Amino acid sequence: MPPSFATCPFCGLLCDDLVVTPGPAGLLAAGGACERARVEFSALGAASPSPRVRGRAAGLDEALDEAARLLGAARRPAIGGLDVDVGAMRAILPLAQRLGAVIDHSGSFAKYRNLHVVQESGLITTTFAEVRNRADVVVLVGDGWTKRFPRFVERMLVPAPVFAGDGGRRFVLLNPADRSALPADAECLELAVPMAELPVLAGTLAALAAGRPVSLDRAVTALGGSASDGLAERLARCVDWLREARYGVLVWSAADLEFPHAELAVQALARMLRVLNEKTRFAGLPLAGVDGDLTANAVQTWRAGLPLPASYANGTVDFDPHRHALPGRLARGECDLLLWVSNLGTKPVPVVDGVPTIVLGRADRTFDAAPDVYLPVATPGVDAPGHLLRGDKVITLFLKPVRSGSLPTAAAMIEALAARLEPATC
Amino acid sequence: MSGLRLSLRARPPARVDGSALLPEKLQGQTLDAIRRIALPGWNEFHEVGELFEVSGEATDRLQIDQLDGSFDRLGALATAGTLVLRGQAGDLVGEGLRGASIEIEGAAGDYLGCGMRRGRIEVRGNAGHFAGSGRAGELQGMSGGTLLVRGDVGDRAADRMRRGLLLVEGDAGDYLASRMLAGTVVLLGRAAGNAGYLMRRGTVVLDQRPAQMLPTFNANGRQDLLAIQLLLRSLGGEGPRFSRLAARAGGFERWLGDLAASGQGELLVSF
Amino acid sequence: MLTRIAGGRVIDPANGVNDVIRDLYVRDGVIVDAPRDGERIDRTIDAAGMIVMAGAIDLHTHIGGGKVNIARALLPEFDRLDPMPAHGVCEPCTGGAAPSTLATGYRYAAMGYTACFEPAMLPVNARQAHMEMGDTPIVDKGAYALLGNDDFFLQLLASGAEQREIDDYVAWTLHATQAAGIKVVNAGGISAFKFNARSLDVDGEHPHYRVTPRQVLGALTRAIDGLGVPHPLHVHGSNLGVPGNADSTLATIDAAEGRRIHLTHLQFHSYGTEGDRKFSSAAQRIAEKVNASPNVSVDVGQILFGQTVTCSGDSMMQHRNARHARPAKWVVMDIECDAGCGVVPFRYRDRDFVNALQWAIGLELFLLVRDPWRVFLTTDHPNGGPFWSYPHLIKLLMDRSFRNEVLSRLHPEAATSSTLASLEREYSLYEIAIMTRAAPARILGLADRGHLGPGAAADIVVYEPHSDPEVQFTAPRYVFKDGTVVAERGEIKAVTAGSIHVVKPEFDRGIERKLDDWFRRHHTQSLASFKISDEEVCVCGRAPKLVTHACTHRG
Ligand SMILES: [Zn+2]
Repeated sequence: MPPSFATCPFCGLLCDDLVVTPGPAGLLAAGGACERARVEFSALGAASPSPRVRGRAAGLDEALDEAARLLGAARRPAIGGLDVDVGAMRAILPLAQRLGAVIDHSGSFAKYRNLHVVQESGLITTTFAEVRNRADVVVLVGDGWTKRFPRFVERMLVPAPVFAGDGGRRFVLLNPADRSALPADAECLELAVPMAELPVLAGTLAALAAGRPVSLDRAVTALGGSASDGLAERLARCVDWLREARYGVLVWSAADLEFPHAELAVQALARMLRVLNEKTRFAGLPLAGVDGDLTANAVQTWRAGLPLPASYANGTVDFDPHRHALPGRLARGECDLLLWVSNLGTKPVPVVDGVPTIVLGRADRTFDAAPDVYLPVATPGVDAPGHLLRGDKVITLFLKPVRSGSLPTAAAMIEALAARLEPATC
Repeated sequence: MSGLRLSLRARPPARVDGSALLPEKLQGQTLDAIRRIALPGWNEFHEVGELFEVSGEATDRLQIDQLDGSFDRLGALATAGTLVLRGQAGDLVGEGLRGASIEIEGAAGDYLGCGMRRGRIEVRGNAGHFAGSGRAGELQGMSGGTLLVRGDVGDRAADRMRRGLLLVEGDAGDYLASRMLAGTVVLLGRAAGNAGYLMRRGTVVLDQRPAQMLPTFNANGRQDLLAIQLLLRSLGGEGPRFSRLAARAGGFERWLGDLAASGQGELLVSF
Repeated sequence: MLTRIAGGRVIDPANGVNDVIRDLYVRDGVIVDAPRDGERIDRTIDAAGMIVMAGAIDLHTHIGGGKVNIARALLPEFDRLDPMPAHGVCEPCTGGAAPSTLATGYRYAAMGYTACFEPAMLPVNARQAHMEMGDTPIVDKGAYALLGNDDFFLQLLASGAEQREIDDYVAWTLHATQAAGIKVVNAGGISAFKFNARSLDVDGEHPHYRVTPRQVLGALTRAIDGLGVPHPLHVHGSNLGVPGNADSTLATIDAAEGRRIHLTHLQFHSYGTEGDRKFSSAAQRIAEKVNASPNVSVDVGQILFGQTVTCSGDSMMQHRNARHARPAKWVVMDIECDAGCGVVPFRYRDRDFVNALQWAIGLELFLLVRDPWRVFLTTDHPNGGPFWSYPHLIKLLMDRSFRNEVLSRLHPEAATSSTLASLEREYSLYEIAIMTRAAPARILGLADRGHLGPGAAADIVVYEPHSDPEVQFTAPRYVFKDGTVVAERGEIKAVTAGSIHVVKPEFDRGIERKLDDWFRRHHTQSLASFKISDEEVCVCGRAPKLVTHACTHRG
């Protein structure tokens, strides 16, 4: 019998060629598993959690009762984390509306860099298989393509682009990144401009791609280079490559762009893509799907018509990244309860003095400060079935459990909580 | 003092939408009726009388005192009358303003005058980020009226601005006039980094040369620009610092950009 | 429980019933024969004086899938203008240019629609499409899978594969994606755009595969007939929106060589190049051809004035039309060697010549295509306008003086450049019932929907008659979905879950060997990951059941 493959839920690539088996120290991920997958499966395999109330092991009923009591007492609850699968999100949203909660994903700030651009200018994008089969020029921003997406190069950039003609594939690295992550024989142009200068670099490339008269000397100075380091020539060559591409792809990962107003740099790049597409084909690939960010947003967007962060206060739904972003709401002391749901990752839960916290979290998660209630839940693709959106936004994959566990799903846990709440009065 | 006066006496537990507190809506109502107006908070409504001392008489002038930043959208969509805000006025003051006058004797939060179309807002202190811009997810910022900030503005002032006038006596943060579509900005203080980023059209008058000009703006020589001189002269009434600029400015160093966008905007540095 | 809907004026064209007063009986969600004497009737709904029809069916409405969700995220400014606060049994959500799934379900049901078909489900995006449809409450759903621009199909065609193999691939796609039909969008053109072609005529060669749209249409119409899929090949033609595209549309009909073909949003494909502005109505030419071709059915894709957002798989034409975007923001995507998408907001303005003429062309088509069994009421929601403008559209069809009064307020040349003002036809209620109920059910092969005979699902709408059809059709007195009263006078009373409709023609599974190899060499997921099982689709689609409709081999 051929091996039954597992799909890895731990990054946006959703590699579906893993073989996961029980081992002595947890789950053993092999097949296509990358280092991160091995670590995550192994950590989950070893865990045998129990619900906890203020750090003390408790029975499931006791923990649910306490969580329901806290939820019932809250006037201004916030729901955060949301690195979850579709099923969990489908359960969370009706609860959010019932509680009048403010709801946000832990990675909203990164994701919002792209959403801003979509909403305020638009974007031309592509997906993994197009990159694999078509891309003859690949421009890589930052280093998330190797750091956050371990098998991106192997799966999308190493296979020959069969529709690209005979020229093969060329690479441009805009920011410092590990050149050795790319195929050794690949033609590669490195601009290596510091990430903080991306706005100027992106604007310069957009202007040059449009054939506008930009002084390369001034651009080089603005980018912190000098007349002798060849940056001017490399900028010019980069623009030639962009225009010569038959099907170019520009890859970035919004989480990398950690400088203020990074969405403007993305917008400049989006502008460049528009210009290039007047003559040839060139598409963006905003790599995402880390920690379920695309999934949480997609479900919220289709059900409510508006993305995250959102407020369900007062029986309405409102989208405002400025007012409803969870870190701000918490920092201003506006929330009186935090419900943190994350069945995929183990990001730290914000600790706010005097704000009771309920965590529906992965089985292996630990805490610096014990939350009021911790309810361990199944991880989709490990203990339970689930669905996640892949990092190119179009494909949703089914996550088949690799073992039969006894942990309830986040969705089931939320429904159990909701059932314990007083019936809605309206 | 004439008009209606609200003085904040209780801090709400979470931000409150104050957009119902418009002179045009309250005018002519009894104080008791005004005390019973419910303002939406987070899963609760707060009666005006619970939060504010209410006094005076509801005319076309409304003054709100002791503000602490916990009210959003004060003066939003106002079409007429005068709203005087004292203290920390909160975010989104004068959002989508359509004609009234808002005077802030204190500071304003983020998104001051965002999407305003007509009317006038004057801030004695500083304003936060995105003054004169537009709401997140929308294409256009302020599209008319006058927004005057005596202090500093934060980042992204006049972002996506489409028409109207933004006057700033103090300094501006990063990305002044980012993605500006049209309209006029006059800045007397210094602009921080990347002024004019992705600017498409419009005019930004700078009394001081920014530390660095984006390489996607090209110098277009020194110009007299009569229209700008006239504009500056017309600003005499906005205060002595504007009239001094009008008197002093012999001409302008003109920079055109942003070439990363359609490149028809101008940054004018006075000399 | 047995319910009687008593004394209504029943209009049920599928069973030849036109305005006959009779009782309907419903048991366990199904319409049943009149009970024997003495049998207990648990509940009687008095429908005396009211009009009773089957639940309406929208056979072309973009309600789910990635492009619709992009449109939702793209345009928060219109959602903010159309909030839907929590109300009764309804959760808070928003309408706007691209409404949320909750708003979609609530508004369709409130209006008496009980089944909706998503016409552009990308096979690689099928799970998400089913999920979005699953979160669209109350109404039944089905979807057409997109083929004809995917590299597997094009290379199959280019390599001269036998029709049998193409049939197998089409059938395999229907199974793997849980679809109710097959649609082709700008045959070959979406793929050609990835090779930097900017247009592709019906007889133009694809720049890489060297096949023509005509060949694509030929192979797919043959496959649909060969497999006996009830719904004809659903075709979004070449050159959408381009003046002069009527020639492409006529060529598309010819490409079917008499086999069944459904031309969707025909309005966008009925343009000539006459007049000073080089933009004219070709509705008459097109309608004549449709009238003379019994193998052809159409839906109109009427435009209505106001803000909308166009969501299309046609990345080639959407990219070309993006310069007209209002607000000026848009998204175009190339998708996974499968298809593409383009999301471009538009504002149709009544004082704009082109928009006004588009409006007139749509109505000309409605009125000039004679057989109401072959022309369907759509706005290509949300592309031409939101589905909640259907009552207004019905009034335009039923009331000539209203129609001409609206026409008189538009850009004046819309009237002079079209025949609309001279068209006297007014649709009857019976014809409206055909085009919104009986005919869509028939053309989709839904044996148990779209009629009121015993055995049909109890999807029933009871209208209070009104002299203004717009009022009558906006808020029916009662809407039953599978026997449950889900709406009364426009207000949702119960939120139920609809079924998923699919077809599963027989085929030779040997095709999977070839596909498996293709997936390994080109795709970024495995064949096994791609396929959606019956069990899984019911989870995705939150469906109490999967309804499989029969395929009967034709031709
Ligand atoms: Zn359509």
